[in-house]
Amino acid sequence: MRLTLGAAAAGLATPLARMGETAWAEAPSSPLLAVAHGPSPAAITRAAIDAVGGIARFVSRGARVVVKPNIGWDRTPEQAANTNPEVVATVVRMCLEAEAKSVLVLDNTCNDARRCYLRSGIAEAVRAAGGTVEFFEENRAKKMALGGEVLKEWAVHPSFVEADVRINVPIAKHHGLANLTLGMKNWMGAIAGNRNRLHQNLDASVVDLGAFFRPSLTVIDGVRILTRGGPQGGSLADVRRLDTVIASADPVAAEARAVRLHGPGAIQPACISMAESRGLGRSRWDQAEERQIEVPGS
Amino acid sequence: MLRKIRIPVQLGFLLLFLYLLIRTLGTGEDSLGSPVRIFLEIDPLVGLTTWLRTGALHGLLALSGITILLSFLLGRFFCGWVCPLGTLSQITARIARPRREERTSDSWRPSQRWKYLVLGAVVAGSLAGSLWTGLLDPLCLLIRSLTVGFAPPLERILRGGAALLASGPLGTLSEPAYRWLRDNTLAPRAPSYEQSALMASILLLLLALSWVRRRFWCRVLCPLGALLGAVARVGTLRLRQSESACSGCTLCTFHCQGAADPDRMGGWRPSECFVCGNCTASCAREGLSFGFGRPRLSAIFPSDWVRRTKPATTATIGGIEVGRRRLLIAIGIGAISGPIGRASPSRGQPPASLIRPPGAGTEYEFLDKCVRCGECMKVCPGNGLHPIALEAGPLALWTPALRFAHGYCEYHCTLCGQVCPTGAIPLLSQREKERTVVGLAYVDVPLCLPYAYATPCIVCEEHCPTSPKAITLVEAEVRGFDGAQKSVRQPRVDPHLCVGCGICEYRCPVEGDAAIRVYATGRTGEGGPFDFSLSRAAPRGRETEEIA
Ligand code: SF4
Ligand code: SF4
Ligand code: SF4
Repeated sequence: MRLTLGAAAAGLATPLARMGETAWAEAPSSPLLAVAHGPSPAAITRAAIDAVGGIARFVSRGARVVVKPNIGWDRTPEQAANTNPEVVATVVRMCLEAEAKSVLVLDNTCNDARRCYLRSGIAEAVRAAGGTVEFFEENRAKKMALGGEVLKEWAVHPSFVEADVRINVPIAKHHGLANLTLGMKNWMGAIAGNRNRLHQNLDASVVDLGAFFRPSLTVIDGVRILTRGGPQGGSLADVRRLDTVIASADPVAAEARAVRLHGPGAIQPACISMAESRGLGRSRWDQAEERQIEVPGS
Repeated sequence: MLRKIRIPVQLGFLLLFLYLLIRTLGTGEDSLGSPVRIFLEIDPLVGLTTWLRTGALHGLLALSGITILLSFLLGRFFCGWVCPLGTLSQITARIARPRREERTSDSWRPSQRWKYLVLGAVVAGSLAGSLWTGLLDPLCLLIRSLTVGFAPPLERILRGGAALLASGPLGTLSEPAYRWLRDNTLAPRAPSYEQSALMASILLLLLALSWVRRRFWCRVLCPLGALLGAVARVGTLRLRQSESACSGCTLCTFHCQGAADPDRMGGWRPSECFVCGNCTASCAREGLSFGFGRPRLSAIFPSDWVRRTKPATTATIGGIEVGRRRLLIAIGIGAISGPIGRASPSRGQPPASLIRPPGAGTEYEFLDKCVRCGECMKVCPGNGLHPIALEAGPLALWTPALRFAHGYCEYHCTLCGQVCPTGAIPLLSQREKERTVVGLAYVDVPLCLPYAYATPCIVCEEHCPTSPKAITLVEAEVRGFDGAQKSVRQPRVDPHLCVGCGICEYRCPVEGDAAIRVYATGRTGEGGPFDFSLSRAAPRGRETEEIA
């Protein structure tokens, strides 16, 4: 029985290739974050990304992009346990419009990966958009030095490290331990091994993951949110339709904004302030830095 | 001529068999959609013994009647043309013994009668309460050995080798090939099984016996071969031997796969002949050919039963003489194996740690049907099903059980019931499956992190698939090791909601014994020390809306 993290650390650590520090320094004209609202998941995803500078700000020609949605559960889109497939497919499509060399979508699922990829609708939608879908192969993961406060080293899937651009596309939902599970926790799907040990120090662990993976862009799916019974839900009674998508180059701001989707009383997960104090982003901003977009249905 | 057709047909059946075995793989769809168990359904030993045991033929098992009819017409063509284990035995023999210059004959030996004793014991067993089919039927044995014994190491070599090559100069060539193989033949997660090495060894041993004598398994041991041989004996297939053409070279018998003595004038043995056509092809003087004759129905009854001219010392199965005493002993062994097997575990109560696949009736209902083919173990997407050892008594050897240390039962999955050839695991609708209870989870409080160490952990609750969740978190004020008061959430299982899927046990981060474990109590259709089945009959607050 191992209770401490990192006890498994053997001398196998491969030196961490310096993760690309993509320029997500704010372009002067773009707001810090955008919140788009409207009946079409694809349209609001596009609008939100356009509002924070457009996809070209994040994806340059020939870039290899990895998109990380949540595909963790054997649930349908209506059950709001996985990222909305149209949101994911729109991100993929936009990357390809920006002439990305490749767009790869994968997740280390909790249920059988085949069922999750299928029932979530994500595999089909991504393929239709021209992206590549792959299962997470445990044996391809490599132990890497994460340099975190609690996660010193862990096995990571190389696709996430080798990519030029990482885009995090989580869904906003309830979670028994984190209260809300949003952006940084989504990176648990990029690592291998006994990930469930992280729950013993969940907040610090997910901040370490957020610091390691540093996405260029975070797009949070608030089309449907799970208000109870998270993270996999199952009952439609716990699902609320908000028709919202949040986009930001700042993962902390995006996450902090998504907490508010759960209503004024929602408790901000501790990982947000921890991430802010570690310089990963801002959890406070002026109203002027946020752009609200209404995308009416046609 | 016959041989020229037989070889491609035989290889075709071997490839079809392997293809169907590989396709015994979930795709993520609810239904598997291909007839992967067809080889088991045309296997008359599976059909006959499960029919004797249960009085019914499940699903397409009646197809095996066609095999019997065809064998009546065509002899043991199944052994020579169709059976993949036969083909593999033959290939092994071929690899080990290349054609030799010096030709020795390979004629019938009395040991070839043993298989009838094996058949006698298997049939007597299935009448008396023990279904041995799974241990000895060639198709069950082969599917199980390949699934449990060979697939996991092969997959490991493939994945590991590809990962090695990928980083080297050959990567651009090897990766596309690997990806194709991976996407078409492998599950996302590499499976592993209990008793894997044993299953592999058994098959290797049986194949290696081909080095002792060609197709040793088929000639000497196989109960299916014995059954088909008995049918062939009374059937219509004949080998026409031309006495005038024969020079006595015995080449035909040297090439004969079955040791059926094609060189003995009037002494060819239809029960041993695989209809491989080697004899007709090898005879330079064209002295041999296959044809049909009138059925030898009289061979069913030995002549001495009718005339009693000499003391009865032999018994016959389809006209094949086996020592009567030996046959009685074999039947006796088969017959007492039922009562002996059922003496343990007592009262048919297997250990509570034994979790059967979803919907598998009571223990004896299950053992009466399961032929241990391992189809369910192959298809299980959670790698939850494994062959068990002797913990539930000898009758249960190598039957499947859920092992949550290795995997779990995927909540919406119904695949094992789709592939089981005998209905030992029933075909459940998705809705029925979600309500089928295989066991009940218990929190082991002294191990559970929030209880024992005041450490936060909600992994079991997070993974619990029922809606509402069978695991609820109860907020508790506890004192940490530093003496400070803190609040933790502790998991608690609602026995009315838990179905025993075991994903909680599988995902529990406490290594060794998980801190939440599933025991076979109160499973659907059965009582038990903690029987919640009565209160479960009216499920409380289970999800009402249809899950697509
Ligand atoms: S339960 Fe499994 S091993 Fe037994 S007969 Fe059915 S599929 Fe084969
Ligand atoms: S045991 Fe469960 S997961 Fe495995 S095949 Fe059967 S229903 Fe599916
Ligand atoms: S076995 Fe565990 S995860 Fe499965 S239903 Fe019961 S409590 Fe939930």
